[in-house]
Amino acid sequence: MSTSNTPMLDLGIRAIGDGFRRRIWSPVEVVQAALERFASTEPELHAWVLVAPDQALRAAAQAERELMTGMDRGPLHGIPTGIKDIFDVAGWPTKCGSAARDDEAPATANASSVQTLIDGGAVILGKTTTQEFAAGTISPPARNPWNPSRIPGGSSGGSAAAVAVAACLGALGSDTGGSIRIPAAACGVTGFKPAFGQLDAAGVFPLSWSLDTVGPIARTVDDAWIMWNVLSNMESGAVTPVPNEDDRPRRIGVPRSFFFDSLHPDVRSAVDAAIETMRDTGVMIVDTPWPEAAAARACGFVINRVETAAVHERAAIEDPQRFSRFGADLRLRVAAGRTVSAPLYLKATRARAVLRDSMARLFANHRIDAVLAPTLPTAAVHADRLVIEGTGLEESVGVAWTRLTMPFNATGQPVLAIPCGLDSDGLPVGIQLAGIPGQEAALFQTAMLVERALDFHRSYTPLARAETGAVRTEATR
Amino acid sequence: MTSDIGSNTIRLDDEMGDVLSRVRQLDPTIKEAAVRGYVREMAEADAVLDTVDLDDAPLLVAFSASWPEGFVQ
Repeated sequence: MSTSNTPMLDLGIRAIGDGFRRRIWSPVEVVQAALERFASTEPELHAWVLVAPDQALRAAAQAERELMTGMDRGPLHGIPTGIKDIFDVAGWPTKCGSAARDDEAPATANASSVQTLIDGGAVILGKTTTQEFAAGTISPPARNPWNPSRIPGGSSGGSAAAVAVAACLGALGSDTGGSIRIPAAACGVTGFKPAFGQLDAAGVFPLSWSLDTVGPIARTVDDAWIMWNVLSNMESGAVTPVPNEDDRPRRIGVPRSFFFDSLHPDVRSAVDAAIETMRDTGVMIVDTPWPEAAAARACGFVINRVETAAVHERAAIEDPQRFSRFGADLRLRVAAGRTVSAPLYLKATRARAVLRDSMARLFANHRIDAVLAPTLPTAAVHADRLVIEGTGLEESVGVAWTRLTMPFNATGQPVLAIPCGLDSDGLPVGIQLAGIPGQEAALFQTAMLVERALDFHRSYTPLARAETGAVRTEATR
Repeated sequence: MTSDIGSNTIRLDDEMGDVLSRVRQLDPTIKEAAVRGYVREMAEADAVLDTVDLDDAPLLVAFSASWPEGFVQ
């Protein structure tokens, strides 16, 4: 019997779903393989806070029956999926990574986005590790699949780590200051922050309601597109076709000032190399200074901090004992955030519209398809030594790792984070491509061209490469 | 100590005393250095936001990510 050398889980959502429909393999087999991948990697990764194998296998068996009888729920039917533990999943507690919610009762309903995935046939394996209440970039105790001595980034760190080793093929994350893109970059996978307000955040514990955005983390741009497609269209029942790649040369703007200041030399080299590769493949790289970048970052920072405090203030006052179980960083953010002046918060909220419009002008003036920037100024830092080195700045990990992502939370536009290479320690480096609200398909088209040019998306983590199983192909049947 | 940051002259000592007191109403264990760092970060953000021309900014915004007409290609 001949087999493919590519493990089944590494084929991508589209090919795996195609295999379901051709009856080459079944959802039960794929979910079992994902659970095996989970079992082999989780002792090092701690990417999950809850996994329900029996429930997942029952859902997979149901998906199998439905597909066999012609009831096709769409491209995520039978696909193993993870959910960040700030999203409600009926029957499971939403602990938000906080000791203060250790005794939280199970949720009685699914978050809107979770329900959409379930309606689309996704098999929910469990809930993934998050930084406490999504407020940070470390995601303890989760670790990085490229090197478990490093952090995976956050706050959706468990989702990115789990996807990177294909313990699930897609996962839900949330992005308020970069929490989808940051772990995607650190773990070498793809993360999509939709435009603000595009997806319903009902049933997701808020961090900062004016900025919170729900989105997918997946291995590749195509996988992220499929998840985005389901998440954004399920309500209407429409399934948008995959973007047709055309030959039109893409124009990508690069705002060097701010986004290329204070980078680790390895990150600068990897991103510059990626830009050159894109140029070699016909992408037009355009110098697009955006003088408002620092203000956009400040805008997101102020709104984020004030609203985080507002979310937790009442509970902190009414239940001090519970508040004392918050981590020290979050206690500071809540206690100090409530002292920020109202005029400053209002200044930030008013500035946001101005900054959004300045980005719109940047796109129009330069006729660009996307803006490109590094996602992080460094690769993943050591979990036991949370220090930023090599950027020339003295910053906390939290400040440094949101420095390049937060401006786009302020503008609210859609952003795709994709990997572009490795640093000298073999850790992933990522870029982000920011697009035009409402033109997500065009952004995905551009990202697919970039992904193909960079050819990093089939690079698998050392932990995932340890998987040896090969899969049947159609020719073997 | 007075620190000139943009148009907002932050009298850190005066302000710190008030902020620290209010922070410790909620959590008496928080260290002064941490609060001082928070106040400094916020003052820096305030100063950067002063570079944004708000003359034409709406006074009350229900934020929408959508771009104004004419900017979408």
